[in-house]
Amino acid sequence: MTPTVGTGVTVTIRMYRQGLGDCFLLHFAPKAGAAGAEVWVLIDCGVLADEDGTRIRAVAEDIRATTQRLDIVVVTHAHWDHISGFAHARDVFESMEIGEVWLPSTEDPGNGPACALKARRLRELSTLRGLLQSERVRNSPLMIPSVASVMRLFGECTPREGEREGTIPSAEFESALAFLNDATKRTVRYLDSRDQPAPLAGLLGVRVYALGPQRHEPVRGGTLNPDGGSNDERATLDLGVAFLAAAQAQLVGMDEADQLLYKDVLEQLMPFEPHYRCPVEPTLLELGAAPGPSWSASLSPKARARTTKSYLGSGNAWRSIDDDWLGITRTLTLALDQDINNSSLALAFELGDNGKVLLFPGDAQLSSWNTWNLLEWEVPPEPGAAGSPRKISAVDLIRRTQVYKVAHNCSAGATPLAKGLDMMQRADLVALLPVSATAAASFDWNLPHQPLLARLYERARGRVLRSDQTVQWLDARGEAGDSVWQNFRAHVRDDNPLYYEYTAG
Amino acid sequence: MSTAEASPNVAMHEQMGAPPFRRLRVYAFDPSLDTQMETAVVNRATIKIPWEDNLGLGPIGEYLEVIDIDPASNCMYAPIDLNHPYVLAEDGIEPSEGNPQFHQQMVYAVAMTTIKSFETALGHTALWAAHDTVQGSKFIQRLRIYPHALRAANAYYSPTKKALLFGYFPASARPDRHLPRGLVFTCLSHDVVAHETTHALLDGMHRRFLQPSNADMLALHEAFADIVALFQHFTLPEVLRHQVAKTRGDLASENLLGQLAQQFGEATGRFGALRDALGAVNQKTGVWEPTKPDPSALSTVFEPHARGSLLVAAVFSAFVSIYKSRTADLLRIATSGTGVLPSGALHPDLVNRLASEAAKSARHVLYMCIRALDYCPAVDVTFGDYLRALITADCDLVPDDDLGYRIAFIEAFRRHGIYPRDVRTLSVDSLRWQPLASAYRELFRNAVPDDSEMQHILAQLLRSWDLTNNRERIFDTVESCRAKLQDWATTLLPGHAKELGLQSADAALPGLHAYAVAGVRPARRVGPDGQSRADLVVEIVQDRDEACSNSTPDDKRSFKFRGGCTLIIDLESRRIRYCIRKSMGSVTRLQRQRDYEAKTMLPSLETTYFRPPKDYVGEPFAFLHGLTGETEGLI
Repeated sequence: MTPTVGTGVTVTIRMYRQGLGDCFLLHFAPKAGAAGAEVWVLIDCGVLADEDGTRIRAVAEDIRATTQRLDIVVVTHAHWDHISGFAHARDVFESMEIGEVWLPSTEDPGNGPACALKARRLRELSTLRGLLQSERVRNSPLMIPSVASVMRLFGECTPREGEREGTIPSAEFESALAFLNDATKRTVRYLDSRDQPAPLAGLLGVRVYALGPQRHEPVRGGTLNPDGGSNDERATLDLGVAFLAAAQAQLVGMDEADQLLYKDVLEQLMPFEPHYRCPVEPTLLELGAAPGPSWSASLSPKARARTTKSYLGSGNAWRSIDDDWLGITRTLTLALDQDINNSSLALAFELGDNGKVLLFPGDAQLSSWNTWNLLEWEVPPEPGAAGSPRKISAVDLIRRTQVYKVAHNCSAGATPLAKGLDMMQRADLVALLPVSATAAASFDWNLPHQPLLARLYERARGRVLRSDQTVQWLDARGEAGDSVWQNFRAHVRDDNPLYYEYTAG
Repeated sequence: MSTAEASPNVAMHEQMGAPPFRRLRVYAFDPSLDTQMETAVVNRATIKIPWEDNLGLGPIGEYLEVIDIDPASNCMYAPIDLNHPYVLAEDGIEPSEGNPQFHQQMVYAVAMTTIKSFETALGHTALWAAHDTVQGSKFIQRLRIYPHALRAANAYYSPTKKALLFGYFPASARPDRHLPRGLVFTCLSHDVVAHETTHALLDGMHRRFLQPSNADMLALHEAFADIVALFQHFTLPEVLRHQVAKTRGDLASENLLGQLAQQFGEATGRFGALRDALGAVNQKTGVWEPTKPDPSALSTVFEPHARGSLLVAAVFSAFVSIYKSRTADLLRIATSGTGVLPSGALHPDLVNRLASEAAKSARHVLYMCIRALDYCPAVDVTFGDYLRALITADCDLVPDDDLGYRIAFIEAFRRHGIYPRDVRTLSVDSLRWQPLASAYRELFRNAVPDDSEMQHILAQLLRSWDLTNNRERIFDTVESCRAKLQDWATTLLPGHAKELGLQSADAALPGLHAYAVAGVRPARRVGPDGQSRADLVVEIVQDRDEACSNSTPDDKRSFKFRGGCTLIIDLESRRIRYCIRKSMGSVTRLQRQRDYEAKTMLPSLETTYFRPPKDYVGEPFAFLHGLTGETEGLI
């Protein structure tokens, strides 16, 4: 039998505790006597609610103090809580030696369909941004303020003096992406589940699998199916975006050039021919100077006043529906967020043939996990080792997971049970959970989702390293007399308030 | 303008009185069926709705006000005058997607039809949910209908605005029966209008159904709305005959009658209708297949629409077996006893007879479903409770079940895995709500002696709750009745709290509220002498705060635990006939709700980022149609 080379590697996983965001520094080191060089891998570096970047800079400085070289920088997906460090501490990373940058194939500028998706996303984002400039949208009772908070993921941040919240397209966001995609200084690789699993940076015994994203393929009608959901449903929403653009025109106003550009579009979106349309009373909907649709006054001023009266009159203003249609901004925001989460570069590090697995799923949502159930790769034996190719399925990898980075800060829709957590069968399962309940609560987000958290504790027998909790809090979760617990605690380093470190293998 | 004034022969009109009906043209289903040869012939129907004397522009009538404001387009559309002679002469204006006035006519006509079938089944006037203000409950005379409120593939009932909001949206790009990217109006779908109107009617009767404390509650709202929309198909004779002929009398096979919202479903990119009570198109083969009842589905399906469709399927299959038993003799006659139909088209006479049996069965089933509402518990209702309410209501109104309707229901529910938790057997007798222990039956009688003021008020309530009476007066009488009964409940009940499922204030539990009389209404039944009688339904509810169960220590959320009882009181003898309890002292019920609260909603991005504030009831229906594909896990 071939000796299992993977057992010759020690992996130290450092989870930074910067707040609501991900930053993991992985150190793969051959054990004494084993062949190969050490490998440093950084997975994501970002945080929310850190406007001046103080906290994420401290993290980046600590990384540089730990190692001058990062063999691989992995960015799972382009959300601010995963990339803010590459903007706020760009100089720190520029001063370091970076071997390769790994990004999901959806970021590949050479990937046509992905680019089309991205272009659409940018259009949608700019529409949302425009809408959020309207006081009316932001104060709408349909919980639309939450939309502004979700926009933080796309780099919208708290305003500087004299600016309004949620309205500034963050130049830093683009700066981080530009830095990561810069192929002139280092190799940039765009990965997805079609890529052949490969040994990690030449280190024997560690193999990396990309479970996601799926590579997008043009489907029927030339449109795209980015989330595994119904293609047409997304297309319908697409047209909803056109409606929103119209809304933007109405609520925020457009400059003259844009008005001309949109005139036909806006006209097409009107439900009835012009002769049916009557302008509303100017005071009725409190519109600004809007490039209103063309209409003919088929209703006399008197009749118009009568309709207005039945709409709002005799204390009936509470029944008006001026803003209800803006509820679609919610759906759109969620769709945007979901698209990106599901494009996460989800990595599984396999330590030795059929050995334990470190699973870093990014922020993949349930529909991504569903696609993983069908994934299978043919894996050749290690260079120099004997044997025939093995078939490895993603299900197999999930089963062998020993360290699980909890997807999407333990949100309700990101870790399936039957097709995920419950499949992880190892008795020594450890979960790493980067989260900040305080920050999440300040945005009124439901993170971490308590029932899922309870299930995690159950599966991992208390071995859940939570970045926002103290080590005393952790110790209250385990049984001191339990040998598995003792072994786990012996592998946790907590002497630096910046991070927790867990050593596996 | 009023037609009576314009008429030269006023005296004759006065002699004749107003006509009983107004005839209006509508789409039988929705505009998409208009463009297919096969269905176009039956897709335009003329329906009869009660004549309203003072129908204003809008239309604005006794129950409804249609207000056509389209904020997204910055427009309003001229309201239709249904009393214009040209419009009257033509049974309303011609069905058209492009004319907003027809949209107004259609929502009015379909919503009125729905209201009327409700009132007929219940035997009393329908009231909308009251508007709660700081000054107390205010009467809402009219439900608002906004036919063009949203630019989205959505339509919903807003309990806060007491309004129906309909959206319009561009169809998907996939060319099918619709114009790719053409506009689809939800207010032109007969099913969608009936569905949303039913939400409003149900909310008018049971306001606490919108405060879900178990997975069945919102599902019941959806299911019930679907049931009403489905059986409304059977009130259109041409459609019914057409479909009976097409399916050769087998209503369990694929047909339009069992499908809901075809255009909505197809325009959003599904293969078939939004929901189909009988089967579904197999996504792989594209072929329609009947759905086999799955008794275990109830423990795996929690999304309100999907869960509701289990109940709809059960009711529909009860209907199919009732229809089959009613038509077995017809088929034997038509086939010389073999029961095997020859190939080819059915004889038109047979089609007519089958259609009329189908219409009758559908009416009976629909009325049974609606009447059950009077017998549902006021809080924490489950599908099982609904079955019990349905059986009890039917026993009370139709003492003699010679056609086996109740058995058909019980069997269909059992096959779909729906049964109450708390009964020993699935027989009619054990499913009926059980009478109160004899010692307590006289509780009400003792409190309300003969000739007391209270008795007079109650008698007045029953008299006034006549179908022809002024609705605002009914509302006022109900409110004063409620106040009187509240006194009774506060002063006399505490000694008997436990038996009634309540908790007396000395229990000193956190956040325990005093009993509130939440609802008073009549229920009809037929006495042993064959005479129709009215019972009084009195709902008494209570709530207290309970902590959530989650095992992590930093989570201190709490929820409202609601309970109480629904008393059904025979007004003649003033005896309590049934007491439908949701006990405040029940430990198992508390645990069930605690588990439910821990799951709260389906896991999704939606619940991550848009966590509703505590006890949020604002727009429970607005976002039920979320994104798909992200709700598989069940935590």
